[in-house]
Amino acid sequence: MIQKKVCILGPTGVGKTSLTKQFVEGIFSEKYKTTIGVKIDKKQVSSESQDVQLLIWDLEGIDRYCGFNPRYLRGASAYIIVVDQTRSQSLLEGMEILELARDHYPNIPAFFVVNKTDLPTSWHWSEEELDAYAQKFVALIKTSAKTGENVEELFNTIAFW
Amino acid sequence: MDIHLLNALGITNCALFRCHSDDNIECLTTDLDWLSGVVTLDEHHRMVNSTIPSLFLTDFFIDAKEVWKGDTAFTLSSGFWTELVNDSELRLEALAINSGAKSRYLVIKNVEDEFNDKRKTLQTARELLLSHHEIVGQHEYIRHKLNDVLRKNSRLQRLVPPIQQAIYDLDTGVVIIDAKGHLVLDNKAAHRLLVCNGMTPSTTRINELLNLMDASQSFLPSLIKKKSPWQGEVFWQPIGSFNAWLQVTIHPVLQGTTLTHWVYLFTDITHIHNKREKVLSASGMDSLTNVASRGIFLNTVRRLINEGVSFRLFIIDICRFKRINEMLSYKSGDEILKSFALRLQSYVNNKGFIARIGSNEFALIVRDDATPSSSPDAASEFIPGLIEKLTRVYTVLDGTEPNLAVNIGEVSFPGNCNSAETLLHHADIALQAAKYEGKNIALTYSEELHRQHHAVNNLEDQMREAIENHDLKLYLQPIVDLATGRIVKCEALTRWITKDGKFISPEVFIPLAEKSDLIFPFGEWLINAACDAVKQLKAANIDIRLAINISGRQVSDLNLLEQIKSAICEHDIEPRHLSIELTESILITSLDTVSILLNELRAMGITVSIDDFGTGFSSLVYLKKLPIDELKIDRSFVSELENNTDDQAIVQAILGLAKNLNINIIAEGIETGEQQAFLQQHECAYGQGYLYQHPVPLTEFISVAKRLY
Repeated sequence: MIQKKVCILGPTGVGKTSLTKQFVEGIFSEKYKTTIGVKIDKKQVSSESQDVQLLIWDLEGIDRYCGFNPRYLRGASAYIIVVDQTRSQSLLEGMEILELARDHYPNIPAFFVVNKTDLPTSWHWSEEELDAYAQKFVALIKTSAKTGENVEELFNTIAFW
Repeated sequence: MDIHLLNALGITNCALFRCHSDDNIECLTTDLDWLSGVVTLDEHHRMVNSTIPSLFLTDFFIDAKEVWKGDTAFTLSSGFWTELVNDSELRLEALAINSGAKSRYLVIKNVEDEFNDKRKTLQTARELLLSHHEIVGQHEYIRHKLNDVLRKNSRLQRLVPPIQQAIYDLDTGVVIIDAKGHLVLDNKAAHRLLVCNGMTPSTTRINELLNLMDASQSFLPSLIKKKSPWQGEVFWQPIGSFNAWLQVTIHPVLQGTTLTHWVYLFTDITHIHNKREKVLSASGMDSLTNVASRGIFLNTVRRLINEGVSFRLFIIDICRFKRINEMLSYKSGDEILKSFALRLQSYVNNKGFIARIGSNEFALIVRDDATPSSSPDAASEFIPGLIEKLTRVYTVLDGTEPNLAVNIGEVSFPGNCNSAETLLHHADIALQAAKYEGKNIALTYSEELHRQHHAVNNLEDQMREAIENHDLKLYLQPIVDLATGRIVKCEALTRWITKDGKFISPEVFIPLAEKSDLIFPFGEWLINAACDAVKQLKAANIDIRLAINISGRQVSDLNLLEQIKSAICEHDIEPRHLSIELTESILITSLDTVSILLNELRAMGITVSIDDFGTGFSSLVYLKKLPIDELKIDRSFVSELENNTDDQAIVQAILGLAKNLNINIIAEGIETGEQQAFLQQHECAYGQGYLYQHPVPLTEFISVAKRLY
């Protein structure tokens, strides 16, 4: 069976671990628990013609306390940059992380995930501005780790990209 | 001590492997119950590479094998990772160790306690970060909404009541003022946070807040000009019993370029502020700038060295920051330090690690692998770009816009040392050498630089000793009346012959003194030696002025005037026997200070000369503004006076200018009769140079002067 490594990157508190948990275990916790280091989860996804095992590398949020470690992206089939639509700062930080990842791995497909769609948007960017940011990625997917909206779709898209 | 015993005692909880080769990795600690979830061992306790259960470890092996390949001793850490083994989570860290003596090891540490400690600290720190982001985000959101509303409805009365009510009920304090300063709207939260009452409306409190922030008259206009809001944290204490940390946004609403309203937003962030201070302090972060402190920085350097990571380390010093604190207030100084750290962080983004390692010293680490796109050009542009960003004008609340200068010392790893302390020391040597060169200079450590710096330090020590032991000698060179050939004045020049008989040129030791603090004891010695010489000249019935050179750094020293007065008094001489010489460059940098000093000296009877005239900016402004008695034409214009028509024109122009301003002229460096003749022909009054006399010791000067006086 094909294995694909997927790294989940993003600023602190955007819901990287929640997305993984929702996808792998189907559960969601409101409680924020910061990730330290790396945790790898596996899940098999299937299409009519193919089975793929996703190896999901959930990485610690990149912020002033934790820098970006390019080593973790080695061998990845794709990486996801998650931002939080209730926090405008996370979008700016997410774009900086994209630059860092691109510097090291310009050819790995990058997916743009705007998470927490169950909550009202509180940033002031218009859809056009958001689309401009999305142009830097292979796809923009709006998700809610809480409700599960688009979470399966996100990982399925990556699995069969 | 045996690893089994250490594990049994609970001192460690780690698995140790000896790597005989990449395919023969022998486990020395097979009795750990969690190990089977991470690696598979065969009957000889060798790791089965084909079936490593841990995906993370499998990936780490790629780097570990690189570590074990070479002969260089170092250790690579995997960082923390979580492994699910039998439904329980293991917190692990792997180390690939190359001892350099053909010993290769793999260590897998169970880091449960370290992991929990780290998580506990970062959990709080990140929750606070998120809370603060949330508040800033709320301000951003409200600011944009109000901006839209106010641009459409310049008089909020037209707003429908539900919108007015919504603003009134916001948890964020809102005060809207029109362009004339009249209150348009405020809300409950603003009343509560600003401690408003019938006697003290929100507009009054806002003025108090701006005063508290030391915001000058130009602060608000500067926001209009930049069309941008100001956001920051303010400690608010309007009345004795109330104080709070407020997140404040000040936003100008503009129609085109015309101001229509001011929007002020406030949120109480006292709880975040206080808790953040505690967490940052406990976690080794600097509480003012929110960047790492020296301790964390050193640990990071040690870790990178152990991991064998190539990196560049920079120490960045803000020049004369103490003076900024004194001139602008410590509050403004703190504000600048915060902005400085932010600029540094934004310049390197996540590609660098920054720390504040001293009151006005920051350190930066840039991993070589963090800048793969760094072409030689990009690398060479890194430092100029950094200096440019860090030295852009800073706007502080009192409206002043100070310019900072920085110096940078750089060192690379791997290089010729392998300890964090030595690296830091080397970077510091490069920094000191950069400071010595001037402002906004960056130097990279090298052994040659170290040798030069060491030599400079030695020379400084020798000069310090020479000043203390009065080993410096005062020589005098006459200044003569070109019409009569008589000595009318003399210039004091210092000569230094070391104890071992070596002559050190003034061109070496004067710049050395100026670049170090030696200029102050040297200046004091010179003033006293000059006063002593004046006294001896007087005793020999030679009634002439003696000129001494004053450096730019001495002029800025508030003690200079007192030193001169005190030396005059102590030697019982008349001030009219002294003259001081300043270079033009001093006037550029310290015109105001110089003006005060010169007027005081003039009032005492001391005359003032501008040395090396023509080589600097030669502005007529200071000739008009300052009490100047003489200009000394620089020797570079005199040396080729016979043949160089440009020099002749310049000298004639200076002579004409001085004549009109009623300022005396002394031509320096006269060495030939032709030069003298030209100067005489164009009515230059005085001259100095080898044609008349080389600088000589005082006793010799007295005998010469007796002949020519």
